[in-house]
Amino acid sequence: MHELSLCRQILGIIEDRVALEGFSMVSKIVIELGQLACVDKSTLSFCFEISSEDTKANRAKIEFLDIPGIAKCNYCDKNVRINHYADLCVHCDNILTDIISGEEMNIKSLEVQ
Amino acid sequence: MCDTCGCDDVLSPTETVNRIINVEQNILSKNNDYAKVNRDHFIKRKILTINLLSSPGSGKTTLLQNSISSLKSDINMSVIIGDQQTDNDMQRIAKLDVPALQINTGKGCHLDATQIARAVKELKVQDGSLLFIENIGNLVCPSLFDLGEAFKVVMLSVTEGSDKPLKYPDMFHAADIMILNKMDLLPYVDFDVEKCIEYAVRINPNVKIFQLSASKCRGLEPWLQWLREMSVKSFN
Repeated sequence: MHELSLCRQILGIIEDRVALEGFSMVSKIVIELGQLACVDKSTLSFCFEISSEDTKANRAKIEFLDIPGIAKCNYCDKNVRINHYADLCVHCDNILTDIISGEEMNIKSLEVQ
Repeated sequence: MCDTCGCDDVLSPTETVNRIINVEQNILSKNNDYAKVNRDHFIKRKILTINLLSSPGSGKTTLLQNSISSLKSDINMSVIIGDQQTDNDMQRIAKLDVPALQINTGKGCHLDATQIARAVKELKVQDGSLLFIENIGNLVCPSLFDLGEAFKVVMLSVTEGSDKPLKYPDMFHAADIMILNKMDLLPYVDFDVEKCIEYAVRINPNVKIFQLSASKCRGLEPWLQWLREMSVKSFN
């Protein structure tokens, strides 16, 4: 379950920010999550609830901003929405090589006190 | 005076003000930073690093044993092996007289870049050598964690399903090489090689594919030749 490892990484980033910005509590974490990213939202939220106990992010809510999967077709030159790496171009049925978005896994912002 | 808008309302000492901090940082940025340090070290020291990934039981250790036996007279090699428990795989590799180090992750389901940095130091990986990292048997989590390797090699055996690339797309998308192993068992199993390759290429059009039987040492030569070529490139 890599979501637990991802939570540790998130808490590490928050700790760095505490040192920089000096806040006492995190109330919300906004995460940009691409639809192709290998992350399950409910698992991540669940793991965060457990792993953030005794930290400044205890009880922080995670808000997800979904980023759609988009690939550029090198054959017909169009941008195509995809839900899966194996999806073919909906216009010309060719294999898609260039992923433009959908792999994001970023902490966008923190709401802190 | 209020700190937020400058109005005349006075906040009591117990009231707190929420503020937003823009972070804009990849969740994996810390691991990625450590991976970059590893990668720079490997390039500087001319170390070719291969991250070998698969489900449990696909044949990673057997492939390493037979690849090392074939190459060790020409190339200096070392091996880092990741498993949740036991050093059984390390014992198998150590019999070949190459430096090998076992990392037991306990509950962890993948290796990360800091573990590799420590292992490289402990193993004293030589300049101008080939370093294999046998990752934990898992087709999900290890795909996310960059270790600083030059190549990710994903292995799949014909005793598994032909649709594994579709089921675990992140891993097959991230891989540079796909090895189809246990080809000697093909007559006895219901595995569609053509379909499997079609799925893998749809997910990763640039993937290079080797078909072999590691335990029988059949079809190993193209893979060994690729390792030799990449070693020459990295060592010069």
